[in-house]
Amino acid sequence: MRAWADLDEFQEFLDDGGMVEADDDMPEEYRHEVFRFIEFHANSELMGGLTERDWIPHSPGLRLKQIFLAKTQDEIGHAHLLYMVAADMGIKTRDEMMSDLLAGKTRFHNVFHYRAETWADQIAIAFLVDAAAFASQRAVFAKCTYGPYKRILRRIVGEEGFHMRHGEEMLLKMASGSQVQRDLFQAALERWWWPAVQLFGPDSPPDDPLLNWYIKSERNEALRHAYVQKYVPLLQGYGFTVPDDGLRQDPDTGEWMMSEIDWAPLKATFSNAGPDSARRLANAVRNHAESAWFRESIGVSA
Amino acid sequence: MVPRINRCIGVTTARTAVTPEMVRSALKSVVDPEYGTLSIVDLGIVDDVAVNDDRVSVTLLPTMAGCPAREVIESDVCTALQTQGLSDVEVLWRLDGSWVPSMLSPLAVDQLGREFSIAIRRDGVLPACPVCEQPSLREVSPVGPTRCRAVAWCDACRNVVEVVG
Repeated sequence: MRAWADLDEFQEFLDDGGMVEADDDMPEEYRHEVFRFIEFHANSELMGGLTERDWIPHSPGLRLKQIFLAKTQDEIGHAHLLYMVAADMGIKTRDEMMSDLLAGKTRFHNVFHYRAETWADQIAIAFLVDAAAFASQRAVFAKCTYGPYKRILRRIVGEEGFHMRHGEEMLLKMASGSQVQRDLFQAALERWWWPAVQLFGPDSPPDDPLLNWYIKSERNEALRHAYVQKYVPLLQGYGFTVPDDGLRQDPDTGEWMMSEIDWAPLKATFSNAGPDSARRLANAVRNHAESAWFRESIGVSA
Repeated sequence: MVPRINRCIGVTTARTAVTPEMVRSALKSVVDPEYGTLSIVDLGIVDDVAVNDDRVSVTLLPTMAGCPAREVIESDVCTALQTQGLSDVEVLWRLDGSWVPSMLSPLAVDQLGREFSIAIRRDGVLPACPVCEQPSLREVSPVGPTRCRAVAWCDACRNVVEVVG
């Protein structure tokens, strides 16, 4: 067990590339910030997994069904690993995290507050949203000073990278399909573009502790900007229209600049007041109740 | 057992006689789609390589029959061999569940432990923790993010690891 005299000494340790381990006597501020971050990640994996699961019976074809089954298992499994690491930090038990999530007291990613209306929405999620989540997780993994979190992120990032290949494959099918398929994807793109871009969050505050403590390695706006540079030309290359009237390319640098982002929809999801938040949470509550018999049978509570 | 067959045929450009060794060496560049630093050769999933004139037949063993990565690995094998000028390639999967963790190469075992915190169980005994090397692992659930690995907790270093086998 290591201990630090004060936050300055701890900061120096982190600045020198130090990694914090579970039994270290870490500053309480750090413990709380890291815990909140992992809890949010765990909640998002769980809510994301439940969404994927809803689409298993609707997947058009056996192979896609297999993919959605495997993705569901991945996401729920990731939540399982993350809740274990979070619970070990001694702030909330797994039961408490679960009941806070189901009571709407804690947050999960904005993208899981919207409804996937058609199969094309699932493809937009796999292609756009998974890619945004992957970029943001990869940036956390890049430094991540909390050892137990970094170790599971190594596996999570690998698995999410694999999901993206499925997303690309499914998009390719839609893009090279009939006009009906292309129109379906265009409509889905219009629903999911802005939530995907907003997943990175508003610009990082100037003195963000998550950046100072190297939980995040990049500012939110830098990740968002890099994402837009990659996905605008990709989507346009497939012949789709990015739903942003103000989108323009800087003639000198070639960079894509978006219109100003309306952050109100993101803020609504923070208080679980997004377009589909209530239904999603109600589903999660029902799912938790319906699976109680199973948890009891194997002797666990949450 | 009926093997699955995927065949990719293109224009033959190979000019030298193809040997199974050449094919195996080319297959080292094909990596697991989730663990991009591990080749399928080190994972022990290449069961057999046969060459008949310019036709190459690669038989793979999935770590489990329902492995969702099969199609992607298949297409990566075709691409890797085509890059080497081997254009008539057939990929077969043995689906009799014969892959066992002892087929992992020492390099793969080492890399899975060090880079991914994944331990290998032998003879039904939980191995030492891949993070702290203490014999302190406790199985928490028989499956986790994937059906081919259990989840374990290390009481010594308090890390979550996964266990193959």
